This record gives sequence, structure tokens and C-alpha cells, in this order.
Amino acid sequence: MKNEPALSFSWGGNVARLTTKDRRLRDALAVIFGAFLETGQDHLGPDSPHESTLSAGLGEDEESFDSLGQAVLELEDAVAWRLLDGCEHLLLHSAAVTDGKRTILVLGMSGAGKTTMTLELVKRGFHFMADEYTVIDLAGALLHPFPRSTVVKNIVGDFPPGDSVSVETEFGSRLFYLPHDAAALEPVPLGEACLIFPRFEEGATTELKAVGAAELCTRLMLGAFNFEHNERELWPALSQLCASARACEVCYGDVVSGLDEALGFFAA
Amino acid sequence: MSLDIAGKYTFRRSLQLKESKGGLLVLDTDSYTVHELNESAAAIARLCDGKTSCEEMVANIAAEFASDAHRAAEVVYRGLRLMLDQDLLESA
Repeated sequence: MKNEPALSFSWGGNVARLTTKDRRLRDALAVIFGAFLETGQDHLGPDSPHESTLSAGLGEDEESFDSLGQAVLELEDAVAWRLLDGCEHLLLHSAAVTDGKRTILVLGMSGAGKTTMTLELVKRGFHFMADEYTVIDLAGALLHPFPRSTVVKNIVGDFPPGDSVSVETEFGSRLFYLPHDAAALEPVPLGEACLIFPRFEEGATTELKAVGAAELCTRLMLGAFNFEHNERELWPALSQLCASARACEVCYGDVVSGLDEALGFFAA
Repeated sequence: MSLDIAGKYTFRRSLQLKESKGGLLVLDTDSYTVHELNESAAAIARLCDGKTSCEEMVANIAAEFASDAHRAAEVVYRGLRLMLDQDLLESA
């Protein structure tokens, strides 16, 4: 079986290429990183410093992965980190959306309800900027889109048009979804960004508390991928964000009322 | 460190500062702690330049906040003690 045509993804001056004989793997990564796809001629010759090539495959006669699900989950991060390699901006563990006037970051550990709340924002007309990695430039003034696809339960209903692919993983079925407009996004001014720390609890009544600037700084420092060991370089961006942002933590059992509460807080 | 009202103070060099809405954010990279100084504390902090004496700080604060000298002195000395307790200042 010969290789499918290589996929080439680019962001921030980095290029990550994927070569594989498995069409399903190629198609899945093409959806997940659809906003980063390069089109054009096949790459010839060795990689230059900001380029890297991943070869991946399935089955006994190929390297790396036992199943499509395993391959997708590992390549999802491997490609992202190759694209983010050398990024000198503040890199937050956060999703991000914008409506052109407001930029909202949704932050939290896995299981906090970050994706659920982000998808509710997308359904309400916000544009999807990032699912896991939010990039803020050193002056703290711009948020750069890094729209790797997000994972949804289904795309029936109010989701904007997009591409999706379903993959069976060891954790169950995963439906990766990327809105079509993700590829066309430009950096947006942060301005007075709105930050939401969701905390999902089954059956809980919605409760909101404001997060002050100092606590926000601490939370972001701990939640950033690259703040430790780069404090001097990244403090201006982080402190600028904290000084100008509004932030709240919202505990919710129902995401619609949780988000209503958060948006009401920001509007007050 | 206890407050020496004859002394002059500066922020420790390892601290990172950021003006925020009416106040100051101070990152202590040694303890990974962020301090938020309110408006009056930030005004005192800005005078901790290694050259301004405590007496001069009191006069500045009194003028900035249209306060009497006695009240301003209370605020300055309390603010300095708090910042010293939090290990934000060192003697110039």
C-alpha cells in the first residue's frame, strides 16, 4: 500500500507534515487540523528548521499505533505541539471564542465543562478561535486563533456549518467538529476580555462568583503551558490580560443557565 | 523586616509589577504569588523608589488624597508594614 498524499499543516512559521498509508487517519487529521491545512505542491527534500514530518500508520507492518483511535488521539497533540514549537507568546490552557466585539476565554481542567460551555457559545453565534491552546501575544493585546477542532456529542441543531469526523477510541466514540469559518479567522484585540471558569456539577443550581485580578493572575499562571521559567518574558502579557479582563467562576448543572449567568455578569 | 521610618525602600528586584485599574499587580516569582495593591497601597508603592523618605511619602499621600498629615501617616506606615510583612520591600 503506498502513502496517501502528505498533509501539510502550518501555523506561526511552523510546518508539520503527516505521511500515512491509512486514508482514515489522513481524513481524520484533515478535519481536526482543517484550519491549518496548506495546499500546494508536495514537499521535496529534507525538512528545514521549522518543519517536521510525522509518519504514522496502523497495523503490524507499520509503525506506532494499534488502532485508529489511538493514532488520532496521540497525533492530535503531536501535530499541535509541532505547530506551537518555539511559540514565544503566552500559551493558556483555554478555549476561546469571539463575536467581533467581545472575546471570551473558557478555562479549566479536563472535566470542568470547558468544551460544553464553549460549544454553547458557538451555538449562540460566537466564532470558534481555540479549543485547548489560546495564544496571547506578548503585549497582551491580541489573541491569535489556534482552531484545532473540538469534540462534540452531536452536531444536530444550532451548530454553524462545519466538517466533522467520528473516531472510535478507547474512551468511546469521539466526534471531532470544526466550523467552516475557523480557517478564515484573524487575530482579535483582547480588549476587555471575558474569562469564564466553568465548574460542572450534576444537578447543581447555577452559582457565580467574581474572580479578582490577583486570583486571576494566579489561576492563569498555573494554567499556562509556558509561564513557568518564562515569567519575565510573559508577565507583561499575563498581567495586561488580568488587569483589563473581567473573570468569573460559574458552578452549573445546566450549561444554558450557567452561560446566561456568566454573560449577564459581563454585561453588568 | 520591621519598618524603619528613617529608612528608604524599594521593591525587591525579583518582583514584576503591572499597573491595573487604579492599583498594582505584583508578581513574586520566588513564591509564585500575586499581590493586588489597592489605590492607596499602589500610591505608596510608587514612592518606594529608594530615594523618597517616609516623611516625604506622607506629604505626597496627603496631597494626592487630600488628607490631613496624621491620617496620611497612618496609611503610609500601615501600607509599608504590610508590604514588608509580605516581603515585597527591601531597604535601599
